Amino acid sequence: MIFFYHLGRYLLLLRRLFKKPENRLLYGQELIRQMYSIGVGSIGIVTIIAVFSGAVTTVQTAYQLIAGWISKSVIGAIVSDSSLLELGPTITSLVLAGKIGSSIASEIGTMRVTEQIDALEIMGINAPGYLIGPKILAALLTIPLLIVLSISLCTAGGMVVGELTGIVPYTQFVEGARSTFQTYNLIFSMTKAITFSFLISSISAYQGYYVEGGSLEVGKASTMAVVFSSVAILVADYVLAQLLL
Amino acid sequence: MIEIQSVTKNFGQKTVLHRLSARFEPGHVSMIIGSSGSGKSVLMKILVGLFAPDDGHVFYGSNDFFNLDIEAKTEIRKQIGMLFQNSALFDSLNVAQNVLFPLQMFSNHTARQQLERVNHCLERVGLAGTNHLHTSQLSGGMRKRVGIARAIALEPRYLFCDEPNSGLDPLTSIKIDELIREITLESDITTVVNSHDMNSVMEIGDHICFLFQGRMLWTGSKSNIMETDCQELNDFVFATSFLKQMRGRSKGHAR
Repeated sequence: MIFFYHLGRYLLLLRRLFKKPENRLLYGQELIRQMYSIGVGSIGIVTIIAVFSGAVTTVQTAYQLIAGWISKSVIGAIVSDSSLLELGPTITSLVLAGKIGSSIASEIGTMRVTEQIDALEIMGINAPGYLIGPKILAALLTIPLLIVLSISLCTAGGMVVGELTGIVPYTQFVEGARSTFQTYNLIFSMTKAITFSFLISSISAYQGYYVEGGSLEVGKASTMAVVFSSVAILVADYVLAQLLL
Repeated sequence: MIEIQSVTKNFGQKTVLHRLSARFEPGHVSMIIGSSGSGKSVLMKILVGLFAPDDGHVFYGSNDFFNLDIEAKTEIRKQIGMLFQNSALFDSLNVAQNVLFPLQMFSNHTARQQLERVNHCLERVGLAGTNHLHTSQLSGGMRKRVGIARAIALEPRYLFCDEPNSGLDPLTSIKIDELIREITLESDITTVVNSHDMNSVMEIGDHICFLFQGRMLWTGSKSNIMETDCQELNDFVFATSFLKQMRGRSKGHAR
């Protein structure tokens, strides 16, 4: 029952985003600020996660391919496809749920408990539209780009480690990666990226927007934002795979 | 003019406001007083439209606020300025940007005119030259002043102040009170102040409403508050033994 209560309140909150902005310029400025915060601010962590994920996948794939008759190019195929289908979109989104989700929930939650949201509403500003709308839009615009970066760096990480450790030569890695590449997989990956971006930003914003209490509750909301976003990503990951693959 | 008629508010089974009626006139500072938990903050939130009453009406002029459509409500909200207990300044903006925010959002003035208005408002509250300070660099009194500057930026017809003196020393409190009173008189604003600070009540309260357990037990002016027979109000006003002694003496002299 409590699930439907929160689902209903979440949907009602989302409905409030679709109102005409009071001032397009200010909304635009807020969008750019959020794009910088979410996009540029996450490049570092995404780079580290992607490079090491690719490197580890190469090493572990080679470890499991013990049969000598299997071509080493298979490693390139597995690493690139894993990066495209799962490591890039899903692992990156889970990491971003921690970084961006907690940030969104705590920012909005702090504004709630310090009455800044009340101040906006009393001024006649549609607070969800101004505070949440630009965050969701910024996430939808920047997280897929981060995921493209992640896929590229993950594959590159695997390739570089394969070359440096002698597990698989560069040429064979690329040959394997090319042999299994399908454009549909890229579309599927971007579908996941857009879905996960929306889930991270909207669920975290919801958690922050309805905080009641003080700093302790803001902390709890931040934690809940990460937990629920992560669970939603995993559920959506399964549903999309079942529907689209 | 703001008028409330038979306003009732429940939270679950608990009725926190019982059929309150009052009228707040322009050019006057109306004070809502009462002890903690008496319903002052809930009434204030109903007045500014953050909570809807379960029964009763809130009139802004002749407009029944809670029966208006969203556009009409927004138009009235643009005429409302509010000073929050903790100022509620936007953390991500500096002093000037906080005051500028409602102007940017709603006014059709040029950027230059908006900046002039910001400087005028900051000067009016005694904070000229603080434009670039960050909100974290401000003292409690300065935060209140910036809050007032932001509240008056759009030249509101209605000003609401929630515990304007909380956390301030007596001298700063008096300055904030004077500022609220001056602004009310200058622009003929309808000002409603929520407070439990009796110094403030006696300093600026033209019209006083006393709330006790969600009921309006007494209304009147500061001149007749000292002679009331309302026991609950006397207990609230003369809360300390010192004040009780003072009152006893003054009554003795009167006889």
